[in-house]
Amino acid sequence: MTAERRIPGLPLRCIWVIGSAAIVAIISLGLVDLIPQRRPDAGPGANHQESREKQRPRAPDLVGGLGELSEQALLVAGIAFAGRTILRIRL
Amino acid sequence: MSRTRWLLILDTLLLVLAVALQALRFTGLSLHEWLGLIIAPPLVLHLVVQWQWIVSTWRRATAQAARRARFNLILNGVLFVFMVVAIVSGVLASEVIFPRVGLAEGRKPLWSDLHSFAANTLVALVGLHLALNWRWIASAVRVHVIRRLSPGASAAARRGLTTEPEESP
Repeated sequence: MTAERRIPGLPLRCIWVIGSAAIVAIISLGLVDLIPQRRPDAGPGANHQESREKQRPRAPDLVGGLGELSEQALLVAGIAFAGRTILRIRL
Repeated sequence: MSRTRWLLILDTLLLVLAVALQALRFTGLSLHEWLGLIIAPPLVLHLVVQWQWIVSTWRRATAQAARRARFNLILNGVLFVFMVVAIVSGVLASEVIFPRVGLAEGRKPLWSDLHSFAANTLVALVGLHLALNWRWIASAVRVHVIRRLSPGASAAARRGLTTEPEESP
């Protein structure tokens, strides 16, 4: 069975989704372009930026990163659980 | 494979990718950037498959008493925008896969900041998205995971006791 037969109107739906994504991307590109450019070596944030780039982990740290991974999973689950409780009351 | 089971697998994959993308230390920068690109096709597929729900909720949201539908639609719209911004800014701030995508060097920190902001907001939005669709998720997991794993599952399935969850939101 072809994908088109499984999901009717597949090409049109793809055009809608990818087209909307492209519009959002173009708008964000345009908006960021409006922000005046800062010289990379000037301003109060220059050193901070440099140190932040150095902090970015290039190699995976499976043991240390496991804590971060579970922290993020717990955060999403926590928000989902809290949101579910609140939304059940409010909506 | 039933539609619900297929959707459950796709949505689980998306959730795993979304959480893994938040753990930069775990994946490292290179895998993080690749995962950021890999998440795009399942995301498009998720929306394409749920298209009927989007159209029907859009119609329902215009009705007066459809507060939940309206909220759901707005949340999903914002989630989509932030997802796109996170992917685009990730590509433009990339250091490994696309180290130079034709951007002025001075622009990179700006995109990097935008990427961090979008990614942090996405955690909350994904959590809320799960909260709004909790009933469907719980029902789909019960039917397609728990009952399948439980000892009497095959007998129940033969007797036609497994019921598909309602239309996914």
